[in-house]
Amino acid sequence: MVGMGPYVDGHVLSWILFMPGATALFLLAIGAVLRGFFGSVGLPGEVWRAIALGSTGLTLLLAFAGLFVAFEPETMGLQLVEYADWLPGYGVQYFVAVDGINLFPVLFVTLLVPLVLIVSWRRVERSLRTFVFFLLLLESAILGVFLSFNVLLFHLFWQLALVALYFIIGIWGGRDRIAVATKFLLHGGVGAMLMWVAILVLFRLNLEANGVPGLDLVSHPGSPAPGLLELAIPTTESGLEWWRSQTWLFLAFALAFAILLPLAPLHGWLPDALAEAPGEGAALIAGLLLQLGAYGLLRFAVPLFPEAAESLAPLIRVLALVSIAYAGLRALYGGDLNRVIAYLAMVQGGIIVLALFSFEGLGQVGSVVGIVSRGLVLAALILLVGMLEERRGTRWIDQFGGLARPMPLLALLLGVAVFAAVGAPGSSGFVFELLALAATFEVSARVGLAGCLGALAMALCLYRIYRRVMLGPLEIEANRNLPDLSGREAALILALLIPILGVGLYPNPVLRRIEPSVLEVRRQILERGVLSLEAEAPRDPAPSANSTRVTEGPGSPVLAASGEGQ
Amino acid sequence: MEATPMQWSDLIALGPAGATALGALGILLLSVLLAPRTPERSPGAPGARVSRSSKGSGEDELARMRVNLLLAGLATASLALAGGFAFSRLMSQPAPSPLSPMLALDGLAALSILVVGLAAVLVIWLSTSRLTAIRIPYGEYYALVLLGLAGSFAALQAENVIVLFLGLELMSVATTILTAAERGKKHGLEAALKAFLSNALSSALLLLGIILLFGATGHFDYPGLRDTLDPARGLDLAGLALIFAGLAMKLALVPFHQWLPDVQEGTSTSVAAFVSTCVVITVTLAWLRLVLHGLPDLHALLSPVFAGLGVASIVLANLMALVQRNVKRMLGWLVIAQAGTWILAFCVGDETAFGAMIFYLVAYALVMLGAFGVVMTLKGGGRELERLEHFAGIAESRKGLAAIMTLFMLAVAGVPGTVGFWARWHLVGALVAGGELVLAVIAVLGSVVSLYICMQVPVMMYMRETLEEEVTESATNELLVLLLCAGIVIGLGFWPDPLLPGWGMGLLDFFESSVGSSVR
Repeated sequence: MVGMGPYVDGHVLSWILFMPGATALFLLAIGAVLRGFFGSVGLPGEVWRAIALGSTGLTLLLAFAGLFVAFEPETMGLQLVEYADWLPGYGVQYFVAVDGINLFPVLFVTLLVPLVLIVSWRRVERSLRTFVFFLLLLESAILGVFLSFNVLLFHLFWQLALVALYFIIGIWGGRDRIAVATKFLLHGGVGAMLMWVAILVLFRLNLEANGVPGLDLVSHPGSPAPGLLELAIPTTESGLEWWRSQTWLFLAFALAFAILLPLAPLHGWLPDALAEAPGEGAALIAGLLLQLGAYGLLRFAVPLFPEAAESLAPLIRVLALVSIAYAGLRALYGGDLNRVIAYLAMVQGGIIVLALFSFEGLGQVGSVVGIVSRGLVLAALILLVGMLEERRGTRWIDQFGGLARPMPLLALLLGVAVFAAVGAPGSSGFVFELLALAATFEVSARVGLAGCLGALAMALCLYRIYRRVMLGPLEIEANRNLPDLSGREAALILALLIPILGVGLYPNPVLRRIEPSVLEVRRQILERGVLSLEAEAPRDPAPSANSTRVTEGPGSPVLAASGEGQ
Repeated sequence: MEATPMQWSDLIALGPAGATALGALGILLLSVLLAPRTPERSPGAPGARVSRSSKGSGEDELARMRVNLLLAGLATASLALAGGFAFSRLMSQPAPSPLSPMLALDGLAALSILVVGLAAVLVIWLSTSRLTAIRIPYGEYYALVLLGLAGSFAALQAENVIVLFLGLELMSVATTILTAAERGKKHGLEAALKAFLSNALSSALLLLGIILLFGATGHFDYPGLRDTLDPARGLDLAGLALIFAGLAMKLALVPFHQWLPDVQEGTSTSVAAFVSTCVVITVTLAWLRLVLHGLPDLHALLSPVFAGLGVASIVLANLMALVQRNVKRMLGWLVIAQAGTWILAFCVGDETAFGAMIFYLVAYALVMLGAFGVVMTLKGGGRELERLEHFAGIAESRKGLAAIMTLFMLAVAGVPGTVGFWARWHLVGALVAGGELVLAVIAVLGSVVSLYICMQVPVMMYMRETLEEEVTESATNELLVLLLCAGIVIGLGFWPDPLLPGWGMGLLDFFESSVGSSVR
């Protein structure tokens, strides 16, 4: 690593992962000491927030100056691996690493959390210290989810993230906050618990197969047990207990991920959560939490249970399409801007799932771009709507109209964000939707067409809403004298819009880093002998045969030109 | 078998129960000797409270405190002695005595005694400073607790169904008296009556079952029962069913559960903590001993029984806990749900499962004691605040207490970072290993509901506005016990398998081997 000092060198991931959480505990300890020994009331909340901002800012700096710089784009497999014994007897090891798939989500997380802290500066006053504590805890938890390569470690962080967000919604949310927080926790909890049982079964299977406990996703020399990706899990029940089959394990994992994506029948919590959570919480949910579902599918569910994923793929595609159609329809009638954003998230989530379950390298690259792009776009939209609500006191679409006249800056930024949301060329959304839908077309023209139509419908819907809110006559008196965004607010939004435009205009640096890792994951799947992928490409030179196909896609001059041409 | 002369070392088996019983007697004696002279000051007498508050002399208060601490220390010492006997047996692991004893102090018994004894010590130190406020006489309180524990230890060491019965009976009687010990509490007498009737009924069931078994096999002793019991005979089956019904009633498993929530609500919090830790754990471990030592391998017969009891308890108790507004009552229902969860280990019935169950019991005891301790220490206007609404806004005035309570509630639900997570991991893992996946999923879904139930308390504490109740400071001993519990809950949450220096193995392995060492 470049000049990070002796303590950080080789441990940059741990620093990034634990810096926010450790700051939270440190602040707690300082407060306790001050109260206990000096009888003071402890540090004021503003100081907490300032220290937290410093800590998250440092994390961001580490992520870019340490992680991103040290990351070698052309390397396949894991980098910056850190491995330590934690509970070897239970198969739980501290195993964090980064590859092309989680690199950009991690960068995004470290970017968003300080922004949210800044946004909260004037808005969160009540129980400020608790808020800062949970926010820092949440950042560590979500980073842990993205970085963990041990299945149970991943799950621990996953549950921690759910609990932290539960408190954020429940304490600082709107009128129905407690009911919504509970709904959120129950949805997330059921998914997490079933995944947990599946992890126990995996633990059992690995123990039976190898005789040593281990839950690492991939093999590591430090562990006696081979990685779970090398474990042969039976596909059919064939006399064994039913729950040992891939299908059930896959379903248990996929349920947890589908709830967070969210897919259509499991989405009930999301619109309510975005509508009731505080603006900061909504940005965290839409920006960070939703991406965990897609990431989990990509990293865990599909590679661990490829045959089950493949055999269930048609069903999942149908679910994704239903989800897209349903969300598009609901968005047409959504009166609350945050609810519209929730449905937008569902449409994009559906497209990510279509891309993933195309089992094309192209699509998987697209879904990684989609994870980051969706997070950036949704967070920007939610924050913009929050700023609008702060001025006008409502998010109801009917209450707006012609806002571009009093607030040109807001109109401009929101316009860019909406463009990115609908996948207009020049934005990261374009790269994502192009890759995703192209991969879907390769699988089935009908599904691809349906996906395109869904994306198109959502685009029309968003344009309509944008026109209704920003353009047209300024009819409502209350809207006439709304102050425009301040420079600070505009800068905040720009911090999210610049990456969106950067990825859209020049996607190569991003795609170059994602591709090798996607290829590596596909190689691992192929080594486990997935039937139809085998049929596509000859068994022996499978990786290379696929790699040429994939590199043709994102790296092709056509795509790059079309991106840069805007 | 050739009768060998009795050795002194054979008497060690009498040690735990004997030490505790002697401690109880000593405390009774001392409390009489040290009792305040003037009649008006005798604790518990009508009007004592008024006269005390009107005089309120600090010297009086101090003297009372000294007596209280002395007696609590004495109780702890006798429990430590009992624990010492158990511990020495665990360290040495001698060959079983050739005599066929009434009591045996083998690995399982010693471990059980240590678990129950530790929980009891925590209960005692949690309640010392509360005794004055709730007008329970110290001497009687500690003596009754110790007597109950003597019975509990006897039941945990039983090698004979009659000893099992006598031990459980002693424990139940002591508990019943304790239930009614706080005078003037609203539902105190009702609770005591319920405890008494349910105890009587369960003892009757147990006794009838024992008699039927004796009639069928001619044996009271565990080894004899084990060799002669034949589940194909109707009489044996009936006796077994009655014994199990009696034990299930003492453990408050659905459908024999009705008494527990009422008792928890009606009695004072320290007694509720005693019932929901020491009593419940004793019944479970004594039951385990009966199954391991006293019964032949009846796995096929017993597995559905335990599965039915467990699943019914998990489902019904969780549903009932959903609608409770009284925290103690809610915790009572949660006790039933938890008992239903750990009883599922009997469905698998191997050493791993029972080791996991003991781990679960330890975790459960810490967490439940912590939760009851928080309820106990939250006082407002001179009384305990036990309704859910009373917790509103506590996070503003008592930050540390709110955080600790949140921790315990998360631990009950098994959220990672707490010992509850690993307890569930082991238990459900054992269920998965034993092939009982349906039971595993039910247990886990039950814990999602438990999560919702438990989160009601943090929701109140953090998300609602305070009711402006006057909140007093907590006593030091309560805070120390709470911090100890919280520390262990977090510590075991991150390092659930600490290496035990004396044995060179982890905690769970140690539990397993203790269970295994006593399986014949």
